[in-house]
Amino acid sequence: MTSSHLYIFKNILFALFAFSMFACSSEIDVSLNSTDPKIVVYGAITTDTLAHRVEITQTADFFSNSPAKVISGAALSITDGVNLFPLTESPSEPGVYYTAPDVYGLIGKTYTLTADNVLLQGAPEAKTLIAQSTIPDLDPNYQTDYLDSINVLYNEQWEGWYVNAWATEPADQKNFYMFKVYINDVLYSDSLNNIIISDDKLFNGNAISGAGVYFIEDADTLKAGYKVTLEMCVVSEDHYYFMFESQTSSHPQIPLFSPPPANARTNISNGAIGYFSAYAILRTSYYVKQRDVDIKNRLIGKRSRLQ
Amino acid sequence: MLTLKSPIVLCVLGFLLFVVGNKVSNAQAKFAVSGYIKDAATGEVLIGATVYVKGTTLGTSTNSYGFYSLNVPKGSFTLVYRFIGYNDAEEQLTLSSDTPINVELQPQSLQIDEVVISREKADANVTRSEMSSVRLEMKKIRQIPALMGEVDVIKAIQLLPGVTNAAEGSSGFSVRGGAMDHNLILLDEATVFNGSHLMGFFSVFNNDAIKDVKLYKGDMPASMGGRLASVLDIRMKEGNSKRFTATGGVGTLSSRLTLEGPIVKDKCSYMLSGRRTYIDLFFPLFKNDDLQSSTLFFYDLNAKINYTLNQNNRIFVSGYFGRDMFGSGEMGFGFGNQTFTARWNHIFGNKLFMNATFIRSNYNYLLESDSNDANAFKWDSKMTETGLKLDFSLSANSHHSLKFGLNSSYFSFSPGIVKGTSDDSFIKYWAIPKNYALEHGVYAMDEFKIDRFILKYGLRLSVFQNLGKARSLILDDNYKVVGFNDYKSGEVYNTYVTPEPRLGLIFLLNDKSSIKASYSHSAQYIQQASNSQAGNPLDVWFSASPNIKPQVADQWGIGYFRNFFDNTLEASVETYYKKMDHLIDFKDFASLLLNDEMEADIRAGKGHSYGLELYARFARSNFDGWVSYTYSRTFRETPGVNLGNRYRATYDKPHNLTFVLSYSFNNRTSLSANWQLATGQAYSQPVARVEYEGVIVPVYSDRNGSRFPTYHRLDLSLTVKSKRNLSRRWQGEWNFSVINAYNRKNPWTIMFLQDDEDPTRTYAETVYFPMIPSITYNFKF
Repeated sequence: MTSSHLYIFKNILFALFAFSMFACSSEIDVSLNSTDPKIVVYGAITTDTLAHRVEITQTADFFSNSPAKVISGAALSITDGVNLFPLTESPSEPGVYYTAPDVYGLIGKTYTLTADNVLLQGAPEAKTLIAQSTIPDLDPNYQTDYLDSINVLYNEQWEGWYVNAWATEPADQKNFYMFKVYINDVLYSDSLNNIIISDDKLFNGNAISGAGVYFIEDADTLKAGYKVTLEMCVVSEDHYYFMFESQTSSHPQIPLFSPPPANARTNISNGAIGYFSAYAILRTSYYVKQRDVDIKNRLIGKRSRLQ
Repeated sequence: MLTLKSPIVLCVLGFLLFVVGNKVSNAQAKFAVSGYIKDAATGEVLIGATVYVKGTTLGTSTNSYGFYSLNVPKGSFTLVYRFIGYNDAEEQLTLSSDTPINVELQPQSLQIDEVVISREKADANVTRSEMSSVRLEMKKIRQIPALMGEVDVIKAIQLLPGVTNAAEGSSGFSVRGGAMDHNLILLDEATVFNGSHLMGFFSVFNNDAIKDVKLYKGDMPASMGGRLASVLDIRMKEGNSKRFTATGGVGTLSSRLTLEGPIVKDKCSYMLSGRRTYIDLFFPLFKNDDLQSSTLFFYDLNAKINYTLNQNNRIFVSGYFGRDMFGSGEMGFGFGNQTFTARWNHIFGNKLFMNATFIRSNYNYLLESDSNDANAFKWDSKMTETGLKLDFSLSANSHHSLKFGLNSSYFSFSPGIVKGTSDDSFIKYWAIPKNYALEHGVYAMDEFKIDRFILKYGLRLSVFQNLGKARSLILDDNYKVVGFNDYKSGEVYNTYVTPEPRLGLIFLLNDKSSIKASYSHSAQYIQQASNSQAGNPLDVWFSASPNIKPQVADQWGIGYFRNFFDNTLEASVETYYKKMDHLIDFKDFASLLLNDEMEADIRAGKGHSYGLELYARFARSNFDGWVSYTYSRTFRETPGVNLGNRYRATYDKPHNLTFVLSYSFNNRTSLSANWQLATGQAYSQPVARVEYEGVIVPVYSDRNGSRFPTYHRLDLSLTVKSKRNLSRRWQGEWNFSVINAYNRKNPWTIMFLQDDEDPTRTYAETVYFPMIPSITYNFKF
């Protein structure tokens, strides 16, 4: 059971419930309290060689209905204890800071982000924030040994495409995964709610042969010849729970399932919120075949004949 | 510990009083009159029917098996037998020895849904030696407007003071600030672990199969235990022992049919009842693909058979089997309860009544995806209770009535097993280890009547044991798993013993009013892993363990009871204070499904509740019902939750005003209405937001710091009976119900959402149940 299964399952139960009970919904006016703004830091360093990104913004009133205010002018650096990678603020994206383009993280290493001179709007003085994260210590051959290949298969029930993976799950450790998908090299998993996360609890050490690790919720997204890339990120346990908690917080409250609302964990110091992560990335791609599309069309055709 | 010890001292004192009282009362020769009180039309025993000596206060009522035993002095007198909705019966006697007398009472009318006219023994509300308990007659429950016309025992008790629903429309309920799993739901003495169907919107109790419903929300008798907040004691019909009858109904949601009749007249009868929903049968009519390939239904089967061997021996066997089935494409989900009860009632020498019970109760669910590829899996979860109970009641003399007994249950939990079901399944086999436990109880209680006082005192000793084979987690101070202890099969590796004193005192001010006070200490060893507000069928039950202390509660109550207008209006004022400790809570974001280290996610907390309940129930010939007002608060305090600060429990709804009324225009037409006005439910609001990966994530502050808008709802139901035709047995009636008659948008939930069109915009949306009408046709022949 990956979380994609559970997610689908809960949606179905909710749909059945909503249908069966004729529940209605409507927008209502609610007056909310506000609180003093806090600094928000999101950033990551990965095993990819590129300019790694850290973004500093601040919290806003829930109904503020405008983009988050950014915090410019901070001084940022990432270090692994030996090398120091300074970040510079992007001239075109205020509040977004990048490393040099030749920086990459190494498995098993701990990275420390330091942000100096972070000045919240209206605050009397600037703060220094520190965060630390470790890229999981994997087998040195992880890039070739873990993830073999993927394909896509249309699912008539959920009217979308499963991305199925062939992989070997390492047995010797607890692993935590985050899956993202690119279609024709454009990020499809562009929202917190379509990033899939999973731990290996139920399938630790198993050979995975075609299990659905990702679901593309739209029948018409894929066409023959399209390139589908699965990005499998191996993340730390803490990072996994941060993702899980952020996703849970962002879901609406459903009395049947939702735990009491709470705030996701943070690894940023000094009263700020957000997360600095370090993780390993593996990738594999698949070109959608005409056969895949034919299968889809056959399934849809069968269904419309039934109606 | 002082609070614990002092009631024990009182109990010991009580037993001393018992000995003294016995000495005093033995001075005069007494004889026992005992037997069963039954319905003359159906032969069903009547629970809670009263018998008293005319012109005196000497009296008693029948127990859950319809048996009574009354000690009376030698001589001549008249006994009056009385039960709600039945004509009184009188019996003139001259006693010179113990005498068995069985009585059959004539119902005031044979029509179904007859409006209740007379009550239990007229002043029972005042003189009854219990407080904080309510018996609801099925006749009354059937009058209450019901969702989709499905008459629902649990929805009816949610209208009582001190009881609130877990969420709008839910069959989960909270009693005096307790959690949903603090309620013990018994069906013919077997525990029902999940009382709801269809994600909580209907209860598993088919009203045609039910005879009697009693809710104890405090002042728990020593004979009951295992839960902190309440016991909902539901008894099935035994089956008509006079003639064959069929009862049924066709409704918007389901159809029901109950058959009952004698196998050997007046000796042996059966009851067989079934209900099934058929909403899914209409799915093919919808143009929606998902629905066309979906299944969605539930059913219930109840069966009971009883055999009266002779005056002193009676045997009952009953069972319940119910299941919900959901399916959509490859996904399937089924869950349900099964209960089995076998009972033997035996009377020793007119005075000592024994009930021996074997129970077995099971709850399980199964989730599967039979896709026949790498994703195929089967996930099942199961728990079983097997138990024996032995209960005795003895009317020692006119001053004392004693009850004592013991029970023992064996629990087996299999919280989750996941198997791959195809060769390619990426999950091969994964399971949370099974675990086992024993729970025992031994109790004794006495009710000592002297003059205007009734003293009730009892002690229950509960014992809980964890049993191998098991793997128990070792946790450090930060709740981190640092190791395991493995135990052999059959090894008792952990024991908890809790003395649970129960006390009650009644002072009859006069024949119209009384003051009652009670105290109870109770422990709970079995609970449900649920951190959602209303719960769902996947929530598993788990037991106390070396890491999880038993939850305990102390409850104090005091009340004033008074009847008015010739006992046609019963009124009471009760207040209570309840203190709870080792309450189960979970750390933030705890994920409780398939969690093999769940004990590490549990946080034990404290809680307390207090309240004032005003209740007035009235019964006139054509107008009856009740009005109640409740002021109640309930709070929790758990380390690591809400920064360790005290917070309102979700069920904290300070004000609640309820009207439940029925009016009969004539013999054929009656109108019922309930209206509730209550403080909105507590919930957590966001105080800020952050943007992360394109999504607006709310930032919360205090847990349950805000409230939904004020709640109010009107439900109506109109019942029209067919013309009475004495030449045929068929009786029919139409019922038209409207839930939420003026379409108030009471939130089921308030969701904080991000606009799809304009992602920087956030808004609040309420999900609510609009006006829901329904039609049901009920029949009986």
